[in-house]
Amino acid sequence: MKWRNKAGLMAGTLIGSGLFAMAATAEEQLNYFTWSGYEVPDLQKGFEAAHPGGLASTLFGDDDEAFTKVKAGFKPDIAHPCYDKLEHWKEAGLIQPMEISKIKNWDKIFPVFRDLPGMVEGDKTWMVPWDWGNVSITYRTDLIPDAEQSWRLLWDPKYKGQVASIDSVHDTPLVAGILAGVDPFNMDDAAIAKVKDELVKQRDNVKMYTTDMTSVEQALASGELVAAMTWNASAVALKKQGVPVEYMNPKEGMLTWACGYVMIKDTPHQDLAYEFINDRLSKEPGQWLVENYGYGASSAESMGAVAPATLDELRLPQDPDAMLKKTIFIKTIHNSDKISKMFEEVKAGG
Amino acid sequence: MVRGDNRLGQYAMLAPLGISAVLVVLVSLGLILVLSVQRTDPAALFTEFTLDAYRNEVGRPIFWVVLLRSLWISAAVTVATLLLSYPVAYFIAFKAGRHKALLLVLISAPFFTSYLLRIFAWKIILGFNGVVNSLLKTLGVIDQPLQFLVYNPFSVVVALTHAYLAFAVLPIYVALERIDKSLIESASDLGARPFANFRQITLPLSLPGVAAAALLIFVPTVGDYVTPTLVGGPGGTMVGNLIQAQFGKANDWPAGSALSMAVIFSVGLLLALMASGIKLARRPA
Amino acid sequence: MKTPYVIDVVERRWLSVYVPLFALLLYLPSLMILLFSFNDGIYVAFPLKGFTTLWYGKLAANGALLQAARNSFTVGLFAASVATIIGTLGAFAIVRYKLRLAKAMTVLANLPLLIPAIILGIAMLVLLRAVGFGNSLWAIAFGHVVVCTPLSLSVMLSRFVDLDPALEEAALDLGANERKTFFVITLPLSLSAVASSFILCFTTSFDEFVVAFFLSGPEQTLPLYIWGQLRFPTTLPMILALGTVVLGATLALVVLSEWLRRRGPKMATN
Repeated sequence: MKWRNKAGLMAGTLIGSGLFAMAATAEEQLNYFTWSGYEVPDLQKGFEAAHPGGLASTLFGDDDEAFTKVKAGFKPDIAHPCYDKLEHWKEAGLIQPMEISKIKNWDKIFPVFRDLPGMVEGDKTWMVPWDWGNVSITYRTDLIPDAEQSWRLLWDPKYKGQVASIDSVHDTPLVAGILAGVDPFNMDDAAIAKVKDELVKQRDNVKMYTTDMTSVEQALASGELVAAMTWNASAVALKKQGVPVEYMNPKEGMLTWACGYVMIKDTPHQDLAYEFINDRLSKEPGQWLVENYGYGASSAESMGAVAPATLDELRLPQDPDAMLKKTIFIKTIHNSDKISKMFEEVKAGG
Repeated sequence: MVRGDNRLGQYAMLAPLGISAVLVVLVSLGLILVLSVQRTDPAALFTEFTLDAYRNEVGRPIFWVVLLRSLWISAAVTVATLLLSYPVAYFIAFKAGRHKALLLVLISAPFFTSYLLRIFAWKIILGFNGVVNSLLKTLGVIDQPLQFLVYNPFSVVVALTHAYLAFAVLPIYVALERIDKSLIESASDLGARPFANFRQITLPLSLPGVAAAALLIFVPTVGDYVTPTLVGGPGGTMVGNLIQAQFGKANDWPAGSALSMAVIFSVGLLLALMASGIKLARRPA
Repeated sequence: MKTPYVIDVVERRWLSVYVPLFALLLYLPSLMILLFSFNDGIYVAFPLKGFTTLWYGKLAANGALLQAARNSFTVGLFAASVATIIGTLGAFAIVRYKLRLAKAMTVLANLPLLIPAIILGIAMLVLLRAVGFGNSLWAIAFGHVVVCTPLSLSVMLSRFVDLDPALEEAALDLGANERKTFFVITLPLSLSAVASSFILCFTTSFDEFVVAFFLSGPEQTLPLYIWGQLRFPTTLPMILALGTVVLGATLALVVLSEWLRRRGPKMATN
């Protein structure tokens, strides 16, 4: 009998302490669902000072996975997807718009981000843009001495099996759309078929479709890859390690992405959420983001606080409004689900 | 213990298994079964009955191409793992003496570092300036690094085979260890030749362990998602990737569910066929 | 090893070549992890740059990574223990008692092997929400119990199928009750299987992250941490250092227990 009692006791304790742990976290805590790396203490000193222990961050490594998790029932208060996925979150009824009047530093956000279509409706906004960056080609200057300054480089049969491309509808198929001469944000079936042809042409060149920049940078460092579609931070990191690379300014234009905060529907912690967002839009967090991760901040104040030399080294402009007129902003892509399927099919060999 | 004096207690032993199996498995299966017959709608999960997901997604030739690829990758992994592991399990069971426990832990120790790390290690080994290429270069076998070692089905097979070595060694060892050595010794005494000995006594008696290992390796690898994502390259895409993409990127849960049903059904059917094949083969002629 | 049989000699010669080769293959990735954890460069690629212990210092200062490792360890121990208990009891009941449902149960219980992890993850999140549980390490631990149970069940089934019922019969005839028989006869005879099941379950839980992703709350496990950090190449060497530490600790434990065993009274084996 004894062993059974013991087992019962143990199970009881386990369940009991589990319930206790849950009760403890149900207090006034803001549950923040974000990219891995955005939960570091340096980014939330202000919020932490006002609410010690008031922030619980749950992390993801990919905002498609994050969307799936929330759709399956996970309930954070605030999430941090990218703008190009905003329509998904809206359509699925997972988020609610926020009142602009409660966002203190809204006016400090560069207009180019505030004016993105589908963001603001009247006096409310679906997303508060916070970080942004560029996508282009990082290539080895020693292995491709006179590189054509064009996205076509990733299609050049000379580099068969030696390039990498980003595994996301809003990057590789978008570039293929630009090269195929269609409007990549409004594709009908005929345009999708054209893009598919373009992607199939590229496939033999591609060693890997991935978002794992660790592998991409390593392969560029070893010479296994000669060129790859990357974020701007990769080129900077490689240069620092003494790898001869350059970040291209393709004649068709770099891509620009932006991510931001959305409020999950019916969150019980609205006030905390606004406080958190206001803190994030203050000068220091944005400045930290630029200086440590090499991405851009949406706040003019934060960007202004970064030394111009640092921005230069990071290939970031002081005034994104001017620069972003020349890049291709990654907007909502119509039919993106269909394009996703087509892209998966191409990657798999169809 | 074939006496039935405590039926309740006997069922009680089965109960925890029942709870985990019935609850989770039935909910999972129920969920994908129901989801797979819904009309796709980005705004709602449950809409109306339709077989569109099966028609449009399972009906695509590319799905079957990828499924077949996954099946042969898994089969290759299973066979390679079993062949590599059997002698080692045999060694531990019969030759290791009192070092058995030590060896078992040593076999498992490499797996206490994260799988993602081991995958990176394989990239170093198989990569451009990797161990294999450097070795071949030094030996003068090649001038230029071989490019086909990584980011293709081959590297998926290598990484998975390595990952599952413990899954083969341990169950086979467990089965071998039970074999009464006196059986083998008496057969040898009677003049049986070593190989005949092995084939007629040891191998058949270890088959339950081999079967368990094969099941534990083959079935999960068919749906593996991590390995092909990290070392598969375009040519190494497996069904796990297709399913994952439907749930995430394409936001089409009915499609993902229908593909899952097709995979479960295909693998289940394959296993059932194999099981009945084994039964037939075992029946005395 | 009383008499050296012919078969023994042949086998021995062959195995003494093969087993070391196998060990080399087995430890090859670990060797790479070890090597590059001391490499003075963030890129894990040849050529090596120079020797450094920098990453170990950074690892010691990285609270999040160490916490993730501890979490994984706790979850792994819990999942492996519970799954092994469930698998052992279940397998025993299935093999020994001719219960109705047993066959259906075996098939059902093995299904988590076959269901893609993302489906299990989503289904368990739905279940968890339905009973009012939140995302947490506990949720991951329970999820891993489900993932690991089929492993345990398969290993234990293959053992119990082979176990001679006569031994148990004898104990019962001598007046032991069923529970006592199970604990005194059956379980000790199956210890290697129990240990194997535990090891397989632990390593599975330690590496699993698709189910863990859906069930995770603010506390992460190691694979979740690593997966998330793949976008930041600078953290990889630190993780390699952690891998080396874990391997080193395991091997040190092995050596220590071997040493204790040799020193201790000679009754430890059998």
